[in-house]
Amino acid sequence: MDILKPEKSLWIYHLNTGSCNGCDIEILAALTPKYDAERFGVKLVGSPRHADIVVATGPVTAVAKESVLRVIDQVPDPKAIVVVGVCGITGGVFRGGYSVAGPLDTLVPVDVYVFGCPPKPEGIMVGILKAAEVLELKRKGNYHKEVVKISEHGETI
Amino acid sequence: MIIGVWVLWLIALFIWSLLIGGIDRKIVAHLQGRYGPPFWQDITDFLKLFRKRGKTATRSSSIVSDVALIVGIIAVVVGLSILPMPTVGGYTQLLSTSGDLIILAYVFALLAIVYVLIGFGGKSPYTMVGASREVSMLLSYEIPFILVIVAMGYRAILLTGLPVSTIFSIAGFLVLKQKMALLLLDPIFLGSFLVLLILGPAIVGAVPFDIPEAETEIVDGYGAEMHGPRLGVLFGIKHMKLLLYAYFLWTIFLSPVTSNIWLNIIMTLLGTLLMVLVIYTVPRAVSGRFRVEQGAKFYLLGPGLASIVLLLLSLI
Ligand code: SF4
Repeated sequence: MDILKPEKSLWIYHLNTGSCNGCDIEILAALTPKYDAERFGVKLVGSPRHADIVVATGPVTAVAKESVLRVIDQVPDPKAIVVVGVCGITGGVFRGGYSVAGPLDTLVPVDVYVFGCPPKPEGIMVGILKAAEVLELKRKGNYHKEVVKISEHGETI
Repeated sequence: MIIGVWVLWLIALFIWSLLIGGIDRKIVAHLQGRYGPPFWQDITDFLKLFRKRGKTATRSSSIVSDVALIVGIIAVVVGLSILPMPTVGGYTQLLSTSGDLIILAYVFALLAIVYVLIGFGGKSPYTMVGASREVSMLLSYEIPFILVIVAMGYRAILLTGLPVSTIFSIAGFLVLKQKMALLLLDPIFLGSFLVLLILGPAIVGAVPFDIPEAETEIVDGYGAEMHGPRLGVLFGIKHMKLLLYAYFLWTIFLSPVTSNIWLNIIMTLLGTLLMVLVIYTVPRAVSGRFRVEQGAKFYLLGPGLASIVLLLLSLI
């Protein structure tokens, strides 16, 4: 029954690890009335302790690294991490920069990658829904680490 | 027997409070031209929180937040035992004393203090700021709230002719409701009702007076360090506080008295929903958040002065 399924309640925490703000704008666009993420039970929360899914953007700068790790550690289990934008996936244009300590998956396990610079809100929505599937697998105990890759338009790659 | 019925009523009201939360989200979504979540979304959210396992921050005090949550649950139960429950032939209170209206006012204040305790127990800068904002809101809405309750009490004994010792008894209002068709026809009660409606968003923590929570400024304020089952209990208490206030407004001022129990139950449920729409959903859909000093000034100057006038008029 949907009403009892925890994956129908997705509280997301938006974590900026040092992005150019392009991906962040698209994440907020995905939560606006036009895309209506709330119909899937998605709610943006202010505190990582309330979250189920962390939506991270940016290449993880050296100054942000400690805070990012602390914030992700504060999210209760089961949790899923979605990286939005190529910066978070590979470091993007910032890769190899003196101030970059990422990408994120070298620091913490990431479940879903949403490609694009920045991705479209559709891609971010699909990424969040894929993260819900990951949460369900984790809850049922048959989660095998498989990387889910989503294109900027929302297709699975 | 009556306790068993009352426990069933309590459970039904709790489920209804979660459903009201979902209906509110659905209505706001439709007002914004969206589909919104299913109307049972808050039940799913509530149940999910009990399956989450997180780490409590080392600086936070779980004892303080646990005590606060227990006090919150007790306050909700006490509030619902005082408010009249629909029964055969009208409405009955499980517990009734000559000062139960004052106890009810304490219940609302206690629930605000629960949030303050949770905030101070969290010991993070965000929870502390949330707690201190809750205290300043409490100080600004509590004065008009108490003054209005006193004005209502005086008016009720004047109209019913009951002894002065029953001035703050809900039973007195039930007697009055049988005498008068609609309490709101009386100007003092109409004024009190309007002041209580305006106080509603601050008491239940709704926009534009959700200043202590303010998730975009102080990451959910007093509840920022709560997680998992504790957050679930807090989520339930917040819903019950909203329902309790709506239930209080509906049963005291508006609920028609009929002898059919089912009609009474349905009208109470729909009446609380109507009150929630007025004090929570509509303000939330049409306005942004006030700053704390704007909120305090608004309550002290608007409802504050109105409640003094009401009190003076009720004494005449
Ligand atoms: S992926 Fe592109 S839009 Fe997103 S943070 Fe990096 S540079 Fe900015």
